[in-house]
Amino acid sequence: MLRINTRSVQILGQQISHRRLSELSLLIFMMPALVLVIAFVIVPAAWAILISFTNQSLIGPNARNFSFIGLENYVRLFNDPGFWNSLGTSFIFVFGSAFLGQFVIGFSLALLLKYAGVLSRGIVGGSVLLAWVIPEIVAVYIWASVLNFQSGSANQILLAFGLEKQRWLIDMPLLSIIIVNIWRGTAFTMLLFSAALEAIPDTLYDAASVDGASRWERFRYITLPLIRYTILLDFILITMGTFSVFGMVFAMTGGGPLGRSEIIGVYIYRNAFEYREIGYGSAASVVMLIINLTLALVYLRFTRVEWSAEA
Amino acid sequence: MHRSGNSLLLRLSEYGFYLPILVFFFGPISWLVLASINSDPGSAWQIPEQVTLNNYLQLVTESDLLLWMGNSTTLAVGTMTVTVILATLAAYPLSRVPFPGKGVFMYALLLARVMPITAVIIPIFSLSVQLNLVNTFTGAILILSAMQLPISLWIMKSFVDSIPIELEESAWLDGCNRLTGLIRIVFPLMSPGVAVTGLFAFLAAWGDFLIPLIILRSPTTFPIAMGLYRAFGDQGSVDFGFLTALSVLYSVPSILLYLFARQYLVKGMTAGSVKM
Repeated sequence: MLRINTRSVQILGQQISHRRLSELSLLIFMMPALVLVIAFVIVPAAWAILISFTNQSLIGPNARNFSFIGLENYVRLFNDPGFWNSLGTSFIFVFGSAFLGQFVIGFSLALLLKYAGVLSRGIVGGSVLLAWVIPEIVAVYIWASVLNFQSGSANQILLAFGLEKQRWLIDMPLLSIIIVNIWRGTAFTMLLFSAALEAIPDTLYDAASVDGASRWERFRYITLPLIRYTILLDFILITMGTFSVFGMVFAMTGGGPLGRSEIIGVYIYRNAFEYREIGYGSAASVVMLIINLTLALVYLRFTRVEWSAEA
Repeated sequence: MHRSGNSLLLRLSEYGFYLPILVFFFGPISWLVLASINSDPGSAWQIPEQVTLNNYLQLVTESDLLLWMGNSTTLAVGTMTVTVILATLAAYPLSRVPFPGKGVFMYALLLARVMPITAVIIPIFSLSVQLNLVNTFTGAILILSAMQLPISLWIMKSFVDSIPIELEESAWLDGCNRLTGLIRIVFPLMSPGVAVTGLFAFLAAWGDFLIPLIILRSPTTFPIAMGLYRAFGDQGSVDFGFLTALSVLYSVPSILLYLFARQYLVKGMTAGSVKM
């Protein structure tokens, strides 16, 4: 039986009004974190918008004495084939590596490994994870060697099958960075779906088997409906994640040759830090921000934050 | 009979799927490890004819390895410390104190978390120039911490959410005030959250390439990522032994720490999202 201690309820009641004040004063603990996030995340976003309307440069006279030039950067941006190329490249990069690669392989692996033995789970799952956890620049170095024309292992395999050697990074740079990004990012999808599948009670499958449901029917009518939110969540997260990739592509191909693997992040970097036009580069940044914000708003639709103060 | 034949076929087709997966995912890593212990390493995949540890020994004697390692450690430990302290402080009011606009604030944190850092790298650089933070670890650590905080706040808040308020209420009845209750009851129970956010922050800073590329431009401030990038960027003088050994050494802490953080990976990946 639950017995309510009336005296302690009274004490609590008296304390509540006092506490409301001290409660609000606790908000001060949030300040340091807030200041840092505002300074290095929020202010830069606003700043990018502001300088995208200027002719500011990285060095030289226009670094300090820049002026507002209205929409000039945007007009130039939208007339630059290089910019449209970078958007197209980004799109193919995201579609190829996130959807066709990471999702398909990661999802299949999660399904297969759920019923696999400890050994395959450890070896196959472990290898996929390993590719994800090593530092980005190590992944670049490994793949630069694997795709090496002279004696890299990719060409070793082609030769073993009687095929011709390929100049991967020169003739198919976009395909190369897509392959590397599949290698690197598949673990994310695999982990996400492994957790989602783990959460489905076995009893559901047992009951369906008793009723004579086939393997495919169990997947179609039990698994799929239960993980549809995970599928959406995964799509959005890997799309945003892949759209934000920079270091791997920058270090691997530098966007080349001739811009054929230049995703938007590399385009921004090149204009700002190589051509030193930070006003113009920022205009491209703003476009990237808008695209990501759109994706992020879709993402937030699937979050479960409550708008109330009790969140 | 038919059933077992069927499942045997299924087994075989499973292995048929595993084999290319294994070659694709593990092949490149096996090349790295094998080349690092090969006395005559190259870009081809090969079993070493002569196994040696000279590539590793060479690291210590012939390069800036100690400098780079020290710099990477400074970055990672600094980012971890700043992130953990700030997130721990902020998590309690975020979880317990109702304030207007809190829902919006938590949403804004999610937005900040998924913002591509490349899109704000120009202002981050300009800001660092203004504040004299270029080529300083302070600058790199502050930026990396700011990037890490949104997710850390979400994770930490969820840890505080899971501490029953009754524990605190009984402490208040025993004479604790809000602050002493926080220190004596809540902080100790937050230690798993501290461990997780700390690990994530360490790993993010340890493996980061973009912020060092922009902020740490002087060779004396290079972390391992920059040292490695510059070393294999120097065309024509590719020293496979040196680079592979360095890569392995650089990857080991990441791999070990991920093993510790494994059970929290999904929680971190999906913070703020639909419960699965």
